[in-house]
Amino acid sequence: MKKKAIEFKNIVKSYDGVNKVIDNLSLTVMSGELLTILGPSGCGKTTLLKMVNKLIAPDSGTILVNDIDILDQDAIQLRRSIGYVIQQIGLLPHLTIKENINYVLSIMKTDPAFKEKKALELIETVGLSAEYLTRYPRQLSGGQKQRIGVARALAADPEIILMDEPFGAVDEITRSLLQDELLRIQKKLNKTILFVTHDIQEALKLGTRIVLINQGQIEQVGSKEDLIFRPNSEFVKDFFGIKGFKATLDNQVMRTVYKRLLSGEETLTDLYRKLDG
Amino acid sequence: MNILIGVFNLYIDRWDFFSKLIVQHILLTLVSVVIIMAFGIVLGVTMTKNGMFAKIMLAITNFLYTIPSIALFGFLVIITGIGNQSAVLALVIYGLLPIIRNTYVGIKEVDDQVIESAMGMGSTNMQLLFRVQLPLALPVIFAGIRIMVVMTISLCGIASFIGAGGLGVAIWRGITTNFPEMTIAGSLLVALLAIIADLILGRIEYRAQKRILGVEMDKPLRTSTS
Amino acid sequence: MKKFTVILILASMVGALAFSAGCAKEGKSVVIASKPMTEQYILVEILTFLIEDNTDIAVEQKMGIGGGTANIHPAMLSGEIDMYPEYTGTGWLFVLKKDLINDPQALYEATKEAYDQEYDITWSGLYGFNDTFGIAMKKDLAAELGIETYSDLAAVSPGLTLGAEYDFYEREDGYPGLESVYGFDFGKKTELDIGLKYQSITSDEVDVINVFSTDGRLEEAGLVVLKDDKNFFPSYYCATLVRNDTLARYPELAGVLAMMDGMISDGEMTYMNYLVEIENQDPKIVARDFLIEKGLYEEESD
Repeated sequence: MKKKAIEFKNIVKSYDGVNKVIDNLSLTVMSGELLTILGPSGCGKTTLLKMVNKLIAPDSGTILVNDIDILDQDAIQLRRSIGYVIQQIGLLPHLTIKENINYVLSIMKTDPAFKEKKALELIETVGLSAEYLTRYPRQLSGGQKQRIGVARALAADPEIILMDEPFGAVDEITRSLLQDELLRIQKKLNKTILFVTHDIQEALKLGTRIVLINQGQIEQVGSKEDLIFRPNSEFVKDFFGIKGFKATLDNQVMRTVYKRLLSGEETLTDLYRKLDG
Repeated sequence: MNILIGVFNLYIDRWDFFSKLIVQHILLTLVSVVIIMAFGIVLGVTMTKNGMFAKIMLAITNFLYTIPSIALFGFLVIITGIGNQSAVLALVIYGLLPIIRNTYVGIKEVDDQVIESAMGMGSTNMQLLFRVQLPLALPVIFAGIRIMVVMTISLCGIASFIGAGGLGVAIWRGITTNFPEMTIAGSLLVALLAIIADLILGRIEYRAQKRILGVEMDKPLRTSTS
Repeated sequence: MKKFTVILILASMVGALAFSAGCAKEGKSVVIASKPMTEQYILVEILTFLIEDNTDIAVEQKMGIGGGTANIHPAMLSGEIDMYPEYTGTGWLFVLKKDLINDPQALYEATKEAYDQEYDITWSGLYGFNDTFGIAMKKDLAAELGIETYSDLAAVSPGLTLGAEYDFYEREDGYPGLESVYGFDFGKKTELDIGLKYQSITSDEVDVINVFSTDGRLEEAGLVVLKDDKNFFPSYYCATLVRNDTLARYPELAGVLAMMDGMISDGEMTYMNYLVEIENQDPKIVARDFLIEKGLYEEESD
């Protein structure tokens, strides 16, 4: 029986009292899924994310985390049980990488031996060598810092992780590597991840489900096939378009086709004819 | 040149007089500095939480700062009497401005992405303050401390005017007894104390900056390596 | 980082404690203050020697209180200061704000009684010298303008500059009184700190200054004190002012203070002032030498 990790019920939010940033939005996030939240700038996706750990409060509506209204949950405890990764990462520059990774554990007054073990374990999990533990954030590259950001979010072993455009600040190649890394970690740890992004390819690549938000409302939520091939509205269709389709093309598929072309099992003309007809 | 020889001889002749004054001067300064830092940092932190309070505090301390020091000393005598306590009170009033201003600015300038991630991870306000904001604001706060200490050492030279101790006693004595060598002797020692304090604090400030910002002031910024 | 606050709080507590400990007096002690004048430094050193030598009371000196009587008197009333040397004229005219009594002895008696009644402060016996106000100018200038008396000076005052300290301009027994009696009308009047007056007249920034009759610098600066032909200036005989409270607490003080009666003549005071101001001797040494000469102090072998 799949558990509901997060539930948004009729959320309304406005910053200036006139324009609604989030307009009567309801959404359920199931435990263990990687839900990517996609939408144009200003559509309210970051606001939605920050409501889960009570950094922002909705004007009306209810949010349930693990079936308990978050208004009934202490903000500090809630935040400590939810991982949070942001675009600029925000590593504490005056602490070592190890201290950064262990930050949540430190504020929870965890036993030092445990913290030591955890740090070693996590830095490995995110694919960096243990020697980085004694370094400072300023000595790391953007990609490395973001890996540490993820490690930090995992330290207290939260069930839920919130990620707000976490790979936006790094170059394409690194981004791709980090995405692969995230998928790998998710496979191993099976967390519930809410991942906000404005990058279509990223959303489609990572999300087990994707929700498209526009002007504070949900346009459509579903798998990538749902969104690309069975769009609910013009907006969804236009949003994904052929770019969306291209993004769904698995590397595996392309490589197979390429191999077949190379080996002569298939010719390009044959391929085009098949597609045309 | 003669006057310098006179000064030098004075140090030799009346060494116990001067050493007593030096000790008094250091003690007065120390007590004032400790009180200033305790109040100043607390006030500075409080200011970051409340904009109105910040405005009021800055306005008050700016105003107090513009009052000529002798006037403030003289005014305080009427209220709190002569002696060390009035002197310390005056020194504290003057010393507060650099500290509260630098604490306020230092904390405000901490990268808000860092603050957001620390909050998102579930830091309490106290934890945020002590584990993130204050350590990162420390270089700026420390610069303020450095200014304040040097200023307090100098101002303490006037304290004898209202019956407090310190090297001002020698300075004031020299003025009132037609004894310029004495005045210079006292002034030089005050300057010396100020310079030494500044050097020591400068060293500590440098270390703090290096630790937290990782920047060595004269060398170019290292780019991060993979 | 919690350690930081803890250290901060502890440090301020230590600071505050050290501070108040410094303020608290252990054992027997008295606080003697002086105005920012050479003469007063010497007198306080004399008192200190006598008290510490003849009793087991420790003396805490607060020398050179800025503002002089104006700030010392309130401190006497509040108990911050136990005693200080004061002048009869100052007490009667400046503090009590009463009308001048010309006879010096009568002035002393009246002041003594009033202080005892109103302030609970005792005037000890007079030391002997009269440090009263004088008007002085450079000998050459006086000769050149043919000035010998204050009246002479008044006649040519519009062309001259007067330099005096704040107290003098404010006190009725100072410039205001002088002005009305003699009709002074100085071309320019400057306010100078007591310590800077001699410098100013030596460098000719001012032509006339008010001086005290026991100033050590009169001779050195080549000044002559003009004659007070209308006997304007009151008498300023010096004595120790001590709180009755303090005397009650330390009855042995009375005897020591009595030792000062008639101890110092005009000439002796002027000479001691000269030693400190012109020869730059330590007031403490000058005081000690004086007492040794008077047989009131014996050098202990170190």
